[in-house]
Amino acid sequence: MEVLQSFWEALCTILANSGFGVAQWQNYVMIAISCLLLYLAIVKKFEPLLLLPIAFGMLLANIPSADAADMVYHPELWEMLVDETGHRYIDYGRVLKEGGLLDILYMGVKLGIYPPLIFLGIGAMTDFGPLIARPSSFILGAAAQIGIFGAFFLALLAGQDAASAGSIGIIGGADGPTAIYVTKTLKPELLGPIAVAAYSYMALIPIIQPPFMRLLTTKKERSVVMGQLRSVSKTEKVIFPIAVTIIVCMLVPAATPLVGMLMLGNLMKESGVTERITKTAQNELMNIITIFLGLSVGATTNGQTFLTWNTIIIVLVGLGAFILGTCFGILFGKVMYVFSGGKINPLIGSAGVSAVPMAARVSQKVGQEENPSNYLLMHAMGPNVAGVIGSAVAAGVLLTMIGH
Amino acid sequence: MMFFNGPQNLLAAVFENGYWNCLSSESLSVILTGVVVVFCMLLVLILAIKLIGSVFGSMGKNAEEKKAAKAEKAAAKAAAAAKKAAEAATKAAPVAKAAPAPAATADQGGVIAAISAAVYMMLGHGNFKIKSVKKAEGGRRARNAWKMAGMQDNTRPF
Repeated sequence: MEVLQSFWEALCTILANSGFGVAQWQNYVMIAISCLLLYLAIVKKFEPLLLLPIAFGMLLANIPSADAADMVYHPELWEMLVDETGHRYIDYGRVLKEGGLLDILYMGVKLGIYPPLIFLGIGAMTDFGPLIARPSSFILGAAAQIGIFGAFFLALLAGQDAASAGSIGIIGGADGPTAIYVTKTLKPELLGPIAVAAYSYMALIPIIQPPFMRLLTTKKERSVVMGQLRSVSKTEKVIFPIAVTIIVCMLVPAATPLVGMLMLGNLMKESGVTERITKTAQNELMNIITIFLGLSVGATTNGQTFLTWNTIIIVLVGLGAFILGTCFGILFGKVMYVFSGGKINPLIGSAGVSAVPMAARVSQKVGQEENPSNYLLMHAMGPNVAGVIGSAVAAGVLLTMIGH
Repeated sequence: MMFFNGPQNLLAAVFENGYWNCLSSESLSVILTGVVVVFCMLLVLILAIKLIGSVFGSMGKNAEEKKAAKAEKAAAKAAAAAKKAAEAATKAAPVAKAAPAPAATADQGGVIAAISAAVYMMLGHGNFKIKSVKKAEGGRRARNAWKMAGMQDNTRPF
């Protein structure tokens, strides 16, 4: 009888110390959301490379334990401390000593290491040829960034302070690494919801953009078949990243880590003399950083800190930012349609949001619905890569004006 | 949370509760500066790219023209040599005159073979006869089949 009693007590202790024993309702909600995101990534194939690690990080971070040492992520380690001079800081020594696996990986986000490395990989994979062939695409890339400042305005109206509004607004750039880079400087406390909102909207581009693209354009405009782009010489492609680095980084130094890495990656690719490291940047490095970034961003969505009204405001205003960016891109595309005498399809304007190449792919898809022989993809890649540069510049402006 | 009670309340909140004040100075200057700087920066880049394109594009064109001129010269030389050789061959044996003609037929034969192979691949069997091969007349917007295939090949990775 005594054996049975101790057996029962042991079972009760194990159950009490298990995740089921200590989980709160927020954990269950977040686990359900992570399962939904996993479904979207695996079954619906919505940007699975991003969504799958984020969703799994979310799942891991919301499995609680009675013993904190067993947990992979500890939100309490990332609370900002204040020293006697009022300076805010994070105790990285404590993170290294007491942190779990995802805490250690998260340091790359907090220290701003992953976003520029992701930009290095993007640069090594991007062909700026369509942008060089039609430089006017930059206008569309700039127009889509108005969404960032529109959302900044909306966030201020919603009662957010300037730093929070800047971090929320940058979601409109549709650029995960840039959103993380800006938020970790302006408002580190909002990093989790903003990163999740930015990456989720990037993954949901094929659902969010098309209704607005159809709403703002006529059938005639959507049917425009654009002329072939001129061929771009290798010399132009090599000089482009050097020129952009000098111009952008000199004018907006705060954008240097992002633009500099983007252009370094592109120069490595276009120069043709660094094949080995280019391949590493395009594949192994990019994949490793994507796993680390996705997992650690997902881990910041701990139910107790994530499920707040503020997160709902961020998600709603972020969606507004995204829609504004899309709409401004299309409206400027319509202006270019008029000025070019009907030679430019306004649908490529929506690709001005910098989610490469998803936004360009959506322009192609919506264009092909009107005319199956229409190939807008390469034309849309121009505004798309211009959007990457544009959002990095917008980030630099926000960091310069609010961050300092 | 009066923001969610409709547009009238939102405006009332903005103007009556002092939110407009928080938008008035620094924040609005962030919006204005941000939009202006992003557009100016990208306009500067447009100018820079156009400049680079005009300088290096024309240099590239010159180099291409030089290459083309060289190739033309080489072709002319080769043609002259071939002419001489043909003349010499005609003198030696009149039958050799017909030699260039099979080359042209061989080219056409290659095209027909490629078309036959494509038809075979599409049908999955060899029970067909090709009676004639005509160039398709496309509509005004239709693309050349080769261009179309190239474009599909280039855009498939995306």
